[in-house]
Amino acid sequence: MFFYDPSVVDGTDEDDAARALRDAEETSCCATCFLIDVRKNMVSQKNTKLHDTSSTSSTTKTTTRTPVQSAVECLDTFLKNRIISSPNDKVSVVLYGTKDFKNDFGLDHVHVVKGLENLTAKYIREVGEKLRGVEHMTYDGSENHRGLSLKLALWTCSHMLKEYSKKTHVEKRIFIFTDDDDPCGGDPNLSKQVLGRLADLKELQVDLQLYPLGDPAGREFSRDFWGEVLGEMCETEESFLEAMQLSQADNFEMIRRKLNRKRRWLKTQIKIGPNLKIGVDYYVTLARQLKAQRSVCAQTNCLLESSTAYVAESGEVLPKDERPLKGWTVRGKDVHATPLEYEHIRDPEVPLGFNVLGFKPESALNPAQQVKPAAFLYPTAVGGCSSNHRVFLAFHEKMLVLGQVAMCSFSSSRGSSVGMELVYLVAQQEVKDEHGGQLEPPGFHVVALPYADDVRSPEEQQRKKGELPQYAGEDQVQRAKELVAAMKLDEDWDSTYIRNPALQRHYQILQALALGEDPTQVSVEDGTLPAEAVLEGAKGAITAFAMELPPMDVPAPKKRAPAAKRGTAAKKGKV
Amino acid sequence: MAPRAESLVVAVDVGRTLGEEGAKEVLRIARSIVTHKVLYGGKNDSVCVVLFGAASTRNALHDEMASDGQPDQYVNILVLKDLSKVGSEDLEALAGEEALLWGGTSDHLDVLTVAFDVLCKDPLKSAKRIVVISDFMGPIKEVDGDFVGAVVAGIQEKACAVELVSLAPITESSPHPPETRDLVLHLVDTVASLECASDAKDYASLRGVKHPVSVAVKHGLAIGSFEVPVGVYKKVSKASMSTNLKVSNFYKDERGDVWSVKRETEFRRRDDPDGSVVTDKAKAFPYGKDLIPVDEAVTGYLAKAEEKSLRVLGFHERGEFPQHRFLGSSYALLADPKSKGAQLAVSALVRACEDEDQVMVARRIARGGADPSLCALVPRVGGEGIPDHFVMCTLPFREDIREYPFASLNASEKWVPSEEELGLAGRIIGEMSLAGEDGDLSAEQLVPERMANPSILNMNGFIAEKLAGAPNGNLQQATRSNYLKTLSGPAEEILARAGPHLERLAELMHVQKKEEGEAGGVKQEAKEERVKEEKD
Repeated sequence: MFFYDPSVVDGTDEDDAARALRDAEETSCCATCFLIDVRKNMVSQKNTKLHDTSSTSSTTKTTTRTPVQSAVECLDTFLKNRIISSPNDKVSVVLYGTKDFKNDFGLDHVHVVKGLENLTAKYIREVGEKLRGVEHMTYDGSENHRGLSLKLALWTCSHMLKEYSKKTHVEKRIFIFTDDDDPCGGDPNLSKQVLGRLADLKELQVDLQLYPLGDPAGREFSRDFWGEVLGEMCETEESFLEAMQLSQADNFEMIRRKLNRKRRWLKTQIKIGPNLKIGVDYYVTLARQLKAQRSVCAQTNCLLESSTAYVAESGEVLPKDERPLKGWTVRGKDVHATPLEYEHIRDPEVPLGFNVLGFKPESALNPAQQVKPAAFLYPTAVGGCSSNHRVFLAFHEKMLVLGQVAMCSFSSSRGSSVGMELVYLVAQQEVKDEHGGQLEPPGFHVVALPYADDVRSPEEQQRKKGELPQYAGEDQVQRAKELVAAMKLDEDWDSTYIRNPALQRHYQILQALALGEDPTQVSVEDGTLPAEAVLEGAKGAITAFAMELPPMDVPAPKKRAPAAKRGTAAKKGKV
Repeated sequence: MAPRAESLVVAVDVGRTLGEEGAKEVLRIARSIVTHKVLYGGKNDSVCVVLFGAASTRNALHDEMASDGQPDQYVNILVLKDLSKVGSEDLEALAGEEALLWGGTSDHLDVLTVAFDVLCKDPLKSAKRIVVISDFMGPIKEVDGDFVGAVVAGIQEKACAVELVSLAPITESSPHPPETRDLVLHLVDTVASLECASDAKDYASLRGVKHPVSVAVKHGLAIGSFEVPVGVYKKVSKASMSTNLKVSNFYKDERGDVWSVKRETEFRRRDDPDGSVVTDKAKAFPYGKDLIPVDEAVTGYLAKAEEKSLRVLGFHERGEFPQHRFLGSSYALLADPKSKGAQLAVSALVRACEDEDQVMVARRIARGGADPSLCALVPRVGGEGIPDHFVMCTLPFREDIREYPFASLNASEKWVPSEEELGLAGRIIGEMSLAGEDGDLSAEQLVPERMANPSILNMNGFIAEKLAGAPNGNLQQATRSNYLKTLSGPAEEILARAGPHLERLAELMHVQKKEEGEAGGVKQEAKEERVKEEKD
């Protein structure tokens, strides 16, 4: 699998644009250290202020949990999400401000619950068990060890992350959970040491993240110390806690899904005419997420790998390097093709990449004309050379202005099983939110079109049978309009805000099985169901619409026979 | 119920008005029709291949008339293969030497009579069809109105379908001989359909396309407690070589004998790929680095079993559903044709959505036990026998979206194109337009749904060649030079218009590359000098 190589854009004269491009790229896995402050105040303080991520509006709620309980909950969510989304990630959990110590260096008040390890069910279970009694790990007077235990904990983390310091494909992160807005207590020497340690970590390209919790000593969480460390610019004291928690919301929101890191699927080109070629990177930005099933040995639970064998009627197995002939049986006659002939049949031998055949107005787009999810194209960065970008942008801009799409033939590789595709390239304007966050990236969407072989015309069937369809009258259309108005979805409704209930259930049950919990107790919120309030509000309009129409009978769904019965029937049928 | 068998007569004009190229093209269309029958036709279908305008004569009507003392009737009509079960013989006939007996006089009414006579003598109870492929440029004898009327009446009585395929459009003002044109237009008015080969990019390829029938999955479209009986049909579904025709595996031994081999999947431990085959296997799902085995009982509650359903969530602005957000294949939602109420309900909803620029959003369980999905139902107003319906496209969930950040395209000044480059891009887009005047899509060129999949086309051609006993690649030559060339780049007339702008833009691009390369070289030299100085 291809990993993005930053050196491609790290030319000798890296400019802002190249840097922006490089910064936008993600790495292939994460090494994350969780640093949890467990000093007295963290375990004794109640009423932790937490940003409410379940609401779309920005609100802060006060919980009855202690800050450390909130931190442990966040950690639990993070681990359970991460094990599914990025199983290659490594995570460590370090407590600081503990009574005893547990680390390789004999550092006081630093307890390493887990070193940097891959996530497994056992890992999550063990962390859960160890943190169950976290309140008892603190000690009286821990509040007086301000800064020192943090400094030592940071030192421990830097040692853990050191082995990844030169691995550019590994993203390094430290999450700090604390309620202490002034960890050095105004001690300039200690402050200098902690800041120095934090600066060292930044040099190691470690991304520091703070999750502030609670109200230290009953006042608002101050931004003075951490603001300087993180370089966050917040206008008010209160907004610092809120802003920081909000920025972490995605990390600690319970959504189980496989996370696909940004990687180029293909480096190819758009060819317009014989001599004009624009280098582009092809990304898969939309794909149905499936439940990844594996085969294991029933006895040993070892992962199995499949291979294909060709077996003759006599039971003789073809040697592995022997490629069989392909063939078809047509009207009782066999037709054979050698492997080479078969390759030639599959491959229409059009030039590789996107070959522009011409341009059409955007109105040529038709929702019924699409055979697979769209992909995305972005210009290839070629060192310090900008001409590729310029020509890409020229066509991008003009296609947007003129409302045109490009029709192309596309062949990704020679002998590809997909063969050649017909596609439209649709220019996408960059869209940003009010904070400058990118909502839609700029580039071209690749919409794969159907051939005549792929299109069916069920709407023609009635006409072919000579039956005349019924069309609604004005009154019926008017009632339907009232129904449409009564059942309008929220303005910001978007299916991509909704979690796949089947996938969430699958992962939750898997998690319960892995962690030894009761899978029958799993319940999943289903955001795909019609909103009761909407239906209740539209009751009148639905009734009025129904009254406008002749009565109709919906046939009752046929009950499926139990699996065992179906199997028997199928077997009988075959006999 | 098994589909009814069909008896088909393919009548191919090879008369002198076509010339060599025209004759080759009509034969290619005929070959494509026959190949389609051989590969995808019913097992009891029959085909008869007839040449007209041929240099020799062989048909039953001519023989009958000759025995009655009229040997000049139904001449230049050569029955290449009698009506019999479709098979490789049909392809052999079209690839054989007799198919090259071109250059006679074409009489369209005569060939229609001969073809109809062949079907009348068919003892099989089957659907009857005649396809006549011609340029319709050959003048015919004076037409006897009564005779034409009798032929048309006979065709109507037998419910025989007649397809006329012309190489060029036939209209009141087209340069066809008046008698021939009048006959064609009369047939179109009474019994025949007319297609023009020049309407498609490669008509012959299009005639080889398999068209599977879409079967309805019945649903009750639920709007609250109100339900409308509807059917959901596949509208677009990716076809492939193996979905069209079953591909098998064979092995050729040293003696040249070919044996059928079965493909079997074997499982071995990943950590011991050369070890023994494991037969006792179980299903598992990864959880981090762990594999969680699941038995049947667990599989049962891993998914929540729901009954088949289609429930409306509400309506949303059409602009919120750009095409690139749909998850592939689309469906058509049509009202139950047997229910007047359902047809009126769907029609009213379609028209309301169309007028209000709305899309209906629904939750679908495609079959009992399947996972739920969200769908956007885009309205399609019908007419002329087409019912109002919705096109149903699957929407992505949060898990399906991969949000990758990309730098702004104008993040660097160097990336911003010059006025000249922008102007050239605009002119290229204009000159390479595939739409008609002012973006008129009714005159659109290269319509994807009127273009055949080239891989499947290759497969059909390869099999047809082998069955016909023709030399490799001989029959496919025209497809390669016509159709596949079309897919490799812009058409010649487009290139002629846009060529100078394309060349200029390519030149600008090349110059920039060169300049930047030189600039890079200068910088590199300066850097090397600096390093040298520092060393010194």
